[in-house]
Amino acid sequence: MKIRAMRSLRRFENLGESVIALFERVSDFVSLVGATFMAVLRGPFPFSLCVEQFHVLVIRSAPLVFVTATSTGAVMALQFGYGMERFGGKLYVPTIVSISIVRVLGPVFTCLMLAGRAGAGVAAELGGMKVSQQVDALRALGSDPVRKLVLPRVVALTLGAPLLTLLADILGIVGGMVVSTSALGISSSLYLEKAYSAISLADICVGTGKTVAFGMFIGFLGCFNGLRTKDGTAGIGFSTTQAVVLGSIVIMVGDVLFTKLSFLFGW
Amino acid sequence: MGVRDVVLSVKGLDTRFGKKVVHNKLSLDVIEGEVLVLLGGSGSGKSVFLRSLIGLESPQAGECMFEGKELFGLDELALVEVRRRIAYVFQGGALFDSLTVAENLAYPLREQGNTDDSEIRARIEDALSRVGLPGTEALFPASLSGGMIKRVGLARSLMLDPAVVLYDEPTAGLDPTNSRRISEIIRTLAEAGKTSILVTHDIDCALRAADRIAFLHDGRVAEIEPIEVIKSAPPPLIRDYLEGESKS
Repeated sequence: MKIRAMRSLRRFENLGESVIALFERVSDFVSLVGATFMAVLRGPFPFSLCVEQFHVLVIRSAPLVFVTATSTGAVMALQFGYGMERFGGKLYVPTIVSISIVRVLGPVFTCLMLAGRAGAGVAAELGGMKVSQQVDALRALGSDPVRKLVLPRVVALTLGAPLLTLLADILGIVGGMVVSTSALGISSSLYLEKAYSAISLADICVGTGKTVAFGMFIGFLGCFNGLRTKDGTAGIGFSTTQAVVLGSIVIMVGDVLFTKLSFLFGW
Repeated sequence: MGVRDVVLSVKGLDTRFGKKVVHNKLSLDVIEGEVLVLLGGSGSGKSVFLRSLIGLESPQAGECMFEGKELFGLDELALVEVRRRIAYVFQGGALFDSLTVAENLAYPLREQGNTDDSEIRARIEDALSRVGLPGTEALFPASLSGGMIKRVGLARSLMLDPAVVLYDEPTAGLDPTNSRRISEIIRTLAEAGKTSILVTHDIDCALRAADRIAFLHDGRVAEIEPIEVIKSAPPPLIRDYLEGESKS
């Protein structure tokens, strides 16, 4: 009886410790975000580092994002084309593909790819720097790791995510067009005309607007997990996984919230 | 060693990580121009002590006076000035992987706003020749041996001409030749007036480089003696430690 009571107490204690650890994590994350915004306000702005990170994190992610976007558009056109052909609804394919790509699939897949490639890369790189004491060395040499490491990566991903999304939207629609013309017998001019009339400026703004927030979160989560790395190389793997998993969850849950909000406000 | 000023004075240092007490009212004075070696078992808080001196760790209590300034509790901005005067040599060198040796050495100078390329180049050449590595400017850290990385790390820490150099296990993992070379560099720097605090498990290095040896035990300085006393009649804890280390 006593042993059972002790076990229950221990479980309760473990739960309490986990809740405290979670709060500490959230508080540390908020502190990092705050320190990054303070670094912007304090200046000087690390412009050249931002350009360098934009190249590494955004431009180098472009091929993966573009392949994903083109394939998504093509697969959607195929699926909807063959499915709706039976009901004589083949001509709705351009409208469905373009709206889905611009409002949801383009932004979400672009950001998921960024979380997988760039977010993981940031966490692994900063994790490696942390365990090899390079982050401490930065501080010891009079640099601010937030300005040198976090700010450029967050800025690059915040600006890069919407830009990649816009290009991914175009390629997704083109992917759908290629399949529609080659497999469904829809002419490219009709496809483009239908797609153009289906998409409004609000769709583009809603679709790409949310990726600003997603890109920022991918950057912060990558940096946060990387800078918290401990326990050597095993810790780098853990941090990288955390960055990708948390980034993906934020994107998926965030997309639900943004979609709900956009319908609520009639965007 | 003649009568010299205390350059760095730590009093009542308390450091805890969760329930683990690392330092318990630790007090220690460091004399200008000396090489003070800190010995102690693993986990006795030697490296944490060094890290606390430049604000890489935040102790729970205590004070540390350096050049008339209290160091503990300074914010990151104020610590920049302190870190210009107190350099830290990391155990693994901590060179930036993506930069060449020359870029690593130039980094602290550029961070301090020095943009004169010819002056920077001259200082890099000087620093590399001081650690016996001339001509390695263009190499990346990945192509250097462990001993070379440590020496480049040491050269980088000297770029801002600090008053105090903190060495965290500078000879760990090195062969005897490289270890001796590093000890000689530390000695040469001390003779040039640099105050040094050296954390090491390498007894040969400690005996070769030290002016005084302090032994950390139970979170405080249990014994501290000049090197002459250590060599002739070491106090009990240091004697046991030296015997244990040489046996192992």
